[in-house]
Amino acid sequence: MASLVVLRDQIIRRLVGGDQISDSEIDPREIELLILQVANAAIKIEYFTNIRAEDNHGVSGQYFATYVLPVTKDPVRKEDYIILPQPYITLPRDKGLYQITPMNGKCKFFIPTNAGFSSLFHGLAAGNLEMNTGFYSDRNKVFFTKDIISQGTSKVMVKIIVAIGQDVIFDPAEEESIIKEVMSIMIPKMPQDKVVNNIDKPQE
Amino acid sequence: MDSYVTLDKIVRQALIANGEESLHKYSRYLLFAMEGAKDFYIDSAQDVKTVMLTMDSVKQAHLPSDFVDWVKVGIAIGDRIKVMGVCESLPILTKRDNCGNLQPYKSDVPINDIPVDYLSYGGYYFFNYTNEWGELLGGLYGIGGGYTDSGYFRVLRNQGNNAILQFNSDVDNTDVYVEYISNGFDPKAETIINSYAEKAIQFYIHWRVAWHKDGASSGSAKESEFQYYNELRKARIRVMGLTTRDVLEISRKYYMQSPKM
Repeated sequence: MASLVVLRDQIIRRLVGGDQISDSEIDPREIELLILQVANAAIKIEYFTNIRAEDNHGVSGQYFATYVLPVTKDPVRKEDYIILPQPYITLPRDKGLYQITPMNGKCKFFIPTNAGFSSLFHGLAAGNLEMNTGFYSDRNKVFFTKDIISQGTSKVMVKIIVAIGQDVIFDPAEEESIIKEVMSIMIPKMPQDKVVNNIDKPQE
Repeated sequence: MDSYVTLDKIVRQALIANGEESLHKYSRYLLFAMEGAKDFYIDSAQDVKTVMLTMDSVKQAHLPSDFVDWVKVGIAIGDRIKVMGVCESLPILTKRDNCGNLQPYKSDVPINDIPVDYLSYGGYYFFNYTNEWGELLGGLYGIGGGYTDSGYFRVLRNQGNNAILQFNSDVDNTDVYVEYISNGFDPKAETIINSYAEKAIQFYIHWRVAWHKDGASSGSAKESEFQYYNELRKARIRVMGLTTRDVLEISRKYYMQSPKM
């Protein structure tokens, strides 16, 4: 299992044909960003592969990013919310926003809903979620269906699915495909030869 | 085994059984679980809820939101219930005062205000059961049913969110005892279910999920339906709890001497 730094250095060595020299134009930060972008695309593909292969609706725990976030009250909507520090991968039923737990009672999990929940379930017995608190995302915020601040919850633990940060660990089976994908993006392509003649050098 | 389980627990178990690893389908499964629980409560649970209702000035009492059907309506007198009768001819109140408030119909209409045609009876009168001194002779055959002095009620549905009990104007008591079949849901509390129905409701969820699943064969939905009804059958048998002793008791109750000719 390679870390982000190991993968980055491996890709740079391949691109420059040896150790990176000081006047190289390759920025390691750009390589890291690319690795994470390619990995996030792979996570989404893995999710659907899991469903097809084993009817498994989960995602490997190694792609979870966990945060402890403060709960704030929106003065206009009168709803409690948190601000997500990072976008998550969009999966069916918003599963990228995987789990939220109150820090003052970790055994009581909040129930994921969606933005249309309150109108769809209005007046239905199921709308009270069996006295549980629901949550739904709205851009970079996550709102709660109940006033959790008054119930003593000032902080929540959030798990989102996204490959992010220096401590991310990649699936060994996907390392090679990530390297190949990043390399194919980084290797400069020849400009298109738009003039039909016997000269090899591309001509505009 | 606990006597009762929460619907929350049943929903989580159904999610796990269907291969879910998170709670993202919780609300959908809960909706199905409540449908299954409702069916069980209405047809099989034999759970009768009791409530004391207070009658308002227009002789109406608002039934709870989980009311499905009434079992017994009456007035509590000591440790007994004086049962009231049903009267479908009680009117649905439409009379209102200038402020829009409902006004009760009254039975104490002055006799002079009642049309003569209404009072006149066009049939026969029989007096052959008394003698000339008014003493009863017996032989009072074929007389129809009488009236209860405990009052009458009618269930008014579609009158807003909750059904209403409308009482006749002669009922003086303001506190009414009601036994009713509940749909099992209290919006302010967790739903609890008889443990006997746990698996039946789980299979109801599986059936509904299979039924609505895109691309699923009708065979898998039919299979789930079959499993659900099998579990429901088992739950009903357990709830009914008819034992050999009960059967013996019933047979003894209706065993009596017959007159010798």
